[in-house]
Amino acid sequence: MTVPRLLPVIVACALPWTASRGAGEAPSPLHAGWQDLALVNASDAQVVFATAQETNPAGREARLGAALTLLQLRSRTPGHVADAAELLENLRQENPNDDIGIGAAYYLARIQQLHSFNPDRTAAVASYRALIAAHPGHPYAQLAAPKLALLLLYDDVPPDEWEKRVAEIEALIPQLTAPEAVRDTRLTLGTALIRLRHDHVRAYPLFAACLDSGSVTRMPRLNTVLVQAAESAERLGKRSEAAGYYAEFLRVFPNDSKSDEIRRRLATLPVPKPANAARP
Amino acid sequence: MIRSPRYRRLGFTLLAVAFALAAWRVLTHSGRENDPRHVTLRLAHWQLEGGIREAFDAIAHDYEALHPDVHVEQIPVPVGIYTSWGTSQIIGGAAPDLVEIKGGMGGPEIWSYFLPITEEVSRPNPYNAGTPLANVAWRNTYADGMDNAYNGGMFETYGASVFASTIRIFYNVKLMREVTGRAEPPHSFEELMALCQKVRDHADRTGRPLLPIVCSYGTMMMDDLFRSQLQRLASEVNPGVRFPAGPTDTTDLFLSYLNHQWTLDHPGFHGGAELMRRVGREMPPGFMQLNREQALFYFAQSRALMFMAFSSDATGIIRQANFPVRAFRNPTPGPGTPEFGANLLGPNSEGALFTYGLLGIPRSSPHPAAALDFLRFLTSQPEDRKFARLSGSLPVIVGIEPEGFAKDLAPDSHGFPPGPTLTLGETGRVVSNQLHLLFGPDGSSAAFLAALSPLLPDSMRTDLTNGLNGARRSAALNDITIEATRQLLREGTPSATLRRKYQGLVETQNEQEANAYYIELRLAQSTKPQMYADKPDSTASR
Repeated sequence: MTVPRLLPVIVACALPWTASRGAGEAPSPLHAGWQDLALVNASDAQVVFATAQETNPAGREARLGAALTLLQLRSRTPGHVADAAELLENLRQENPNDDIGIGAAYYLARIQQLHSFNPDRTAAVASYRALIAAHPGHPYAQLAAPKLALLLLYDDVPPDEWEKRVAEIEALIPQLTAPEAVRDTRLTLGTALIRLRHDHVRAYPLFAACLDSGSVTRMPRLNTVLVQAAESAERLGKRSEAAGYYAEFLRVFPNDSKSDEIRRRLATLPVPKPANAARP
Repeated sequence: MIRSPRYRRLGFTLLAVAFALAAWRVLTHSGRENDPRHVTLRLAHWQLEGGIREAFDAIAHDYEALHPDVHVEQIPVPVGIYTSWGTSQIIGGAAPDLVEIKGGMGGPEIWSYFLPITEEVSRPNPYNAGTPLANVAWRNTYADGMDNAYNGGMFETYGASVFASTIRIFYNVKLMREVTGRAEPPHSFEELMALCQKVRDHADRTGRPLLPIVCSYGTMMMDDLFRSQLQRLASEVNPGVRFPAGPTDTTDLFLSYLNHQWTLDHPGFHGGAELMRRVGREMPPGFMQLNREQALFYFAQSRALMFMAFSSDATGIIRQANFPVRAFRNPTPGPGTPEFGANLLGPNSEGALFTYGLLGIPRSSPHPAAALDFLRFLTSQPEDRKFARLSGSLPVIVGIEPEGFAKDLAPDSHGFPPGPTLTLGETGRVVSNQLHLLFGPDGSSAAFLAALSPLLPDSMRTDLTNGLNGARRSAALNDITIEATRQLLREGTPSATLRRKYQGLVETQNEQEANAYYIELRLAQSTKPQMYADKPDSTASR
């Protein structure tokens, strides 16, 4: 049997698959609302989510969208934040274990930490800890990990308490699976160790892990982390590793204002091994 | 009084002709406006330097030849009113199709008024077809990788830049020969100062009114000298790396000052003020108030040997001067110089070319697709070469070698990064208000620094707090953008750009929040020295 004879059969078989695939890829009715919010266009998003709630008042995604829209309004007032918190609390209480319920718990913690006109750090820390403990591995728990790290580290506490907090974050990192959560928790800890304790011994492996996994995507951040890793390696006597990071810096940023000095530093170090270079 | 009917008829005839002409112009103009077959693209900018309007017109003419249905009009607006004009146009929803985005315009949420072109800049610019950049992503055709167009907070690219500039000292070659017997410029700060002395001696000897140097934009031109003296200090107080944090990042410089790690007696700060005073002494009285046209007048009239200006002024300078002009880089003292050398680690590196003059497409643009297409055309390699040649701006697109005079204007990336500028924010205002104590007839760096000393702590605190609040506001906005992007990623087949955006937004937000908490902690520590934080660990290896 030739291909032209088979063609109607192939087309007939493919049609239902194509139709179902097309239906699967059709944007949800709330797509436009999320798109508006992605472009910081809260006023249009508000209309989309309000219309969706009129059609289906129980729809959880539309209510999440409506709550978050209140937090993005240009003329945000304490009343908007309180309304958003109420909507999120209702979503969480209705079902604390589905995606929307866990998301609501995360954004309630974000309100405590950031959106509220009277932020409550202690409450935010407790909420993040509870979220991570209740839903380890969930995407919202992964988002919460670096937030918890920065709240714990940039706090004025006695040295032994600070060390306990560092230990808590170090224990948290291996539980994380989302690449951005691993990267940002490591970078938050590494940067705090350098800024607040000048501790290159513990900071260096954190920077090196982020660079070696190629997870630092923002060019301005990559620019800094490459130099941080190289300088820490140099201080720790890891001259070959330092050379690798400096060489990678020059590959990615050949015309940076630091490049001339980095070329000078690199000339004093051993020739870098290609394996040490980060892969942005 | 003229009563002759002949004159009266002539008057009426002239009036009728004028009316007919005006009516014809209004009718044809509005006819074209309302004709759906024609598009009138409007481009607003505030670059009134010589050559730039002509360059825009030439590129518009080329574009119209390719697209006869499109007419491009530029709206040059004086810089003094541009911010308020632009803000009212954008917020009122009546902005032109392309707007040069200027700092302060539209408030902190300025980006929400413009269309992101992140997807588009990841694809090749079709107008680069037939050039070596034919298959290169539009973003990567830029000398700075479109850094200026990229908003780190939103992880989006808004518009494209069309200008690049450096600061250079232009000089009158004929006059230089007359004063020194040679045409070569000075190669060091000491040689520059010696040249200024020679000019003053020459003026005394010949009785001719001649100034060594003029500049416009006040101390912005001398900022390079001041920042060279902050190289070592800014590197030492940066807890992250042994480099200054960045040209506009004063965070650690201010935090360390407020935490008593250095004072205004620091040799770097003192050296910066002293260098500015010495150069200011060579300028005409009241030079801080000179605008570009006034400074250029001194130079074009051969009443000043040198003119410190932006490279983008080159075309205007050359056009107005009836003598040969050359340019050189503002020399800073070398690391070996006895008085100033210890504060720097090398000449100031200008790094990669910094582009500016970001043309964005407002959301209210009547013709966003045509605006994007014109932007691509304007920033294609062949048109940018032409734009640079006509405007005197340095090329922003890679692979265009500066030609002739422009070779002296290209950035020099040798040396060490300078410290941050102190010309911005509240601290910039406070510093600026005390400059009369540095540049006045009895001015001295000691008097200037003594006056600054009681004022700086409050201004630094204000700037840090503003930065902190800005970072928090941005992080809060990002929360919702992140969730929206996450929801979009769950639908269908998300693009690689959307995935990158999500990763980048999360990374940006965490970095912003960490910086905000760091500033908050160090600010609190500066008022309560008994706090625990930031006491270096005994095992520190720094």
